[in-house]
This record gives sequence, C-alpha cells and structure tokens, in this order.
Amino acid sequence: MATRHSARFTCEATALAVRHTLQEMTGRLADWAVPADPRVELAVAEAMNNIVEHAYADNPDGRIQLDVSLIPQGLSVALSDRGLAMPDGAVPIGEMPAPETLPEGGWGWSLIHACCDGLHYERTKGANELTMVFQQAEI
Amino acid sequence: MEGKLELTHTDYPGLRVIHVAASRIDSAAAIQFKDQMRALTDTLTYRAVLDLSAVSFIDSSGLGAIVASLKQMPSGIRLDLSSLQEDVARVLRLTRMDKVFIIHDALDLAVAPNGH
Repeated sequence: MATRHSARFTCEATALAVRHTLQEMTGRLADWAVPADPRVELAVAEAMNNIVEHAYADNPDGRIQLDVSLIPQGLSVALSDRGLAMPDGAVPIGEMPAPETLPEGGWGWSLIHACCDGLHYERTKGANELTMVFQQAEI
Repeated sequence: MEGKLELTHTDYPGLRVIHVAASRIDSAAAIQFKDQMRALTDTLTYRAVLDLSAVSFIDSSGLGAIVASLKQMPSGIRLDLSSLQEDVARVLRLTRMDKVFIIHDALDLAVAPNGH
C-alpha cells in the first residue's frame, strides 16, 4: 500500500444512484487491495442518504461529490454537496433510538459515529463538506 | 428493472418463510420491501420468518423497513429473522434492534415447530 491512491465519484441525489456509487467505491477499494471493512460502506451510505433526504430534500437535481483517498492513517472519504446546511452548523451527536419504541429510522448519525474513527464537517461557500476517516485493520 | 427487490415465500404448516432475493435492503429498496412484505403478511394467521441469507448489506432505511414490516403484522402474529450475514447482524447489534426480533441462526431452526 505504498502507492497513494485517490478517486472521485459524482452522484445524483437519488437512492439508486447512491447505491451504484457505493458499489463503485467498494469496487475501487478492492482494486487498491484495501482490506474489506464493512464499516466504510455503511457510514458512507448513511451520510449520502442524509444528503439525499435532508440537504437536497429529495430533489434529484442535486449532486454529491465523493472523494476517496488512502492516507497514512488509513482511508479518507470526503462528501461534498450544495444542499441545505446542517441545522446547527455541526453534525448531530446521534443518539440511538430506544429499541422498544420500534423506531423506523433515526440511527443514521449514531451509525456514522460508530463506524468511523474521525469526522469533520464544514460549511464553505454554499457547500457542505463532510470528511470521514477510517483507520485500517480494525476488523 | 434496476433496483428491483424480490421477495419469494415458502409455506410450512403454521409458518411462512419469506426469502429476500436481493443482496441489499437499502434506501433504494426500502419502500418496495415494505410493500411486498405487507402483501405477504397482511392476512397471515401464523408466524412468519424473514430469511436474510442472501442479504449482505442493510442501511438504516433497510432496517427501518424491516421494523415497519414487524409493525404491520396482523395483531399477535410474530415476524422472526433468520440466517443473518455478519455485516447485517452488526447493524442489528449496533442499533440494539437485535433485542426486538427473535433471530434464528439457520432456517432449519426457524422451521422447527414453534421456532424453539
């Protein structure tokens, strides 16, 4: 893994396009011989679904840019969109809903926090920039 | 038919096993999943078991659709899960939704009378 790899994907703000982009991303990571880490696809899926549903409020004209790169600590995934800003200017802390209430959602941010080792959000020039870092070999 | 999700079923005495013939229950599949589950369970008078052996990925939308399927079961009728792959089991554990379902390791256990 001495070679530095990076790749950029552009995705329409629809659930199906998110699925295809995730599959492209995991394929690329496999091409780079990055050990499979299921946390990555889950965290990126949750973050991209949030962008589709909340930042772009299901407007399919929105575009999401996904930059994946190998860094010394492991893997960095950066998502960029031009939708609505995060309500409090920061990522939600994320609390797991109580199982006994039979929730049908609300796990997204908790799963993102649980799956990645570093999380950074910034709103710059009308864009949301969310970066997730995954350390290697945590399986 | 991109993004198509298909559910098939096998009936046993007192039990309907519902097989997910797709590798993902994600945001793109959640509504189809819920609708097909409703069609397969809304007149059931006995237990259903959801066979997830083919599913390698679920996200929170997919999990939400499974919970919605549980909530739309006829009153007093169980929906169990069976044959979870490790990555799917992890999502259930992380969200603690593994406490809500009876989860069978394998279908032969789920199919045993009264599902142990």
